[in-house]
Amino acid sequence: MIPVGIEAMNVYGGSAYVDVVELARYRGLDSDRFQNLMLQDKTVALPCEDPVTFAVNAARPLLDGLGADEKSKIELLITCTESGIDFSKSLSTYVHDYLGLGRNCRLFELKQACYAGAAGLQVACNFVLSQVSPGAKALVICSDISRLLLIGDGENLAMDWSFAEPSGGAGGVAMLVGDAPHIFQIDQGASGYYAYEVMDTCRPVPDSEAGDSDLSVMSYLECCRHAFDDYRNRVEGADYLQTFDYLAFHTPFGGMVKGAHRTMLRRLHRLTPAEIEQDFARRVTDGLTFCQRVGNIMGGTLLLALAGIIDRARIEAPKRVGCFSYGSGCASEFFSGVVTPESQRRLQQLRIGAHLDTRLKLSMPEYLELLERGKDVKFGARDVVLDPDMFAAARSKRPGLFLKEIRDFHRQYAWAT
Amino acid sequence: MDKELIWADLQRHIVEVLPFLDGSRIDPSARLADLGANSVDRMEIVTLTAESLNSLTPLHELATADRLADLVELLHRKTSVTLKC
Repeated sequence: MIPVGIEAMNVYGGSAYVDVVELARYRGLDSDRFQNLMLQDKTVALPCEDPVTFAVNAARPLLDGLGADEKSKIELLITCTESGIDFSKSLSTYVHDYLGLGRNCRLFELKQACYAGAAGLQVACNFVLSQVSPGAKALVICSDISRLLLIGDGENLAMDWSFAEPSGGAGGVAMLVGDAPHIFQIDQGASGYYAYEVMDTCRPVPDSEAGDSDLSVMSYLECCRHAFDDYRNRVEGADYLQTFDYLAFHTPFGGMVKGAHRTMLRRLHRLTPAEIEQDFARRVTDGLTFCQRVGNIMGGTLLLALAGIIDRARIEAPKRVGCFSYGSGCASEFFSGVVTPESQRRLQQLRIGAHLDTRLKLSMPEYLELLERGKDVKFGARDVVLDPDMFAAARSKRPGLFLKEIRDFHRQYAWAT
Repeated sequence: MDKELIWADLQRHIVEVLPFLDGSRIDPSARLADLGANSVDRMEIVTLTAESLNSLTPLHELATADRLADLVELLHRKTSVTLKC
């Protein structure tokens, strides 16, 4: 069988961020217990940014690195999102246009909450493995923003706060998938799935999120357990402690990942708290590198965690990474793949961390103004002209695609250099 | 398993995760959030208790418990029995 996986990968973490601890304090919701949530910063989308711009800006550097011949081999474009801008027209139509991809290409959008990115990756890998079009590549782009208003009564809002506003970020993760998986070679057939119907978190109306945070946490844990059990049933000798050098988790917030990892080790290996802490530091922490700076980017978060590991972990030889993806509603998958020193060298060339450093730090008044201005571009906005001077300081730091205007529902973008 | 034993186990884990609490004064009609537990604390308390009781209830079903007494009830329904010789 041919190798398959991620040939190239990039993360676009936006142009502005807010310090979540500062946000918590400002909202009067900071407490002694806040630290164990492990929240740090989160990217905030400007009004002139939307899931299309995050997608294009994540993918552009990958395509710039391809020759025309290679670019023409992209026959499948999948955008993975729960921040769709139209019930019919997928993000991929705009993304395809602004990336200048060839017209002989399948394109569509994929949705299942935070599982969408892993699902897109696996669908792309299976396209390559099928060899129905030998040499063809796929471009999978996860893109989500959190321009949300909470639904719920006042009492529940406070309880769910730790799950909603401070953790919801914005970002794009682009992956070129093919038979030369320099970045991450998928272990073929090594997947465990677990899915059932549960009403934990969802986006039932545009620009809003509803949910029960405790139900979602527990459902995540339930899925982590059973998805890994399914993985073990398919992969002989698989062991949570021994098989994986690193572990990448879908990361709504760091504290949840730490708790999930702790729960898995207690159940499977009966480690002591000190041993669990050590294992977390050694195998999981690197995956939080970018997640704690960008926040929860839904379908792309697991891939963001994977990028963090590849960028920062000690990879002096091939290493196996176990990956767990969970999407509310729900669906989950535990899969694995191998990264090499070459993976790290190539990903580090994209300088993901350095680009995150260029983001503008928003003050609280700026953040609140941004939330207010975001209403101008809410779902279904028909005619809007974006103010090019709004948050110009943030935009000037990052060349890329920005939303210029919406005319009769049609979105028009421009490149800022 | 006796509900009193389940309640005692739950109280023990609440105090383990929230050591500032006086275990003897936890009201069964309280919610974990009322005691000062955030999402991670609530996850820890419920999972630790479920594990020590060998609970067979899926974790997401335990999340439907509103008050501590409701959690005890859910845990009571499906705990496995350890046979002792």
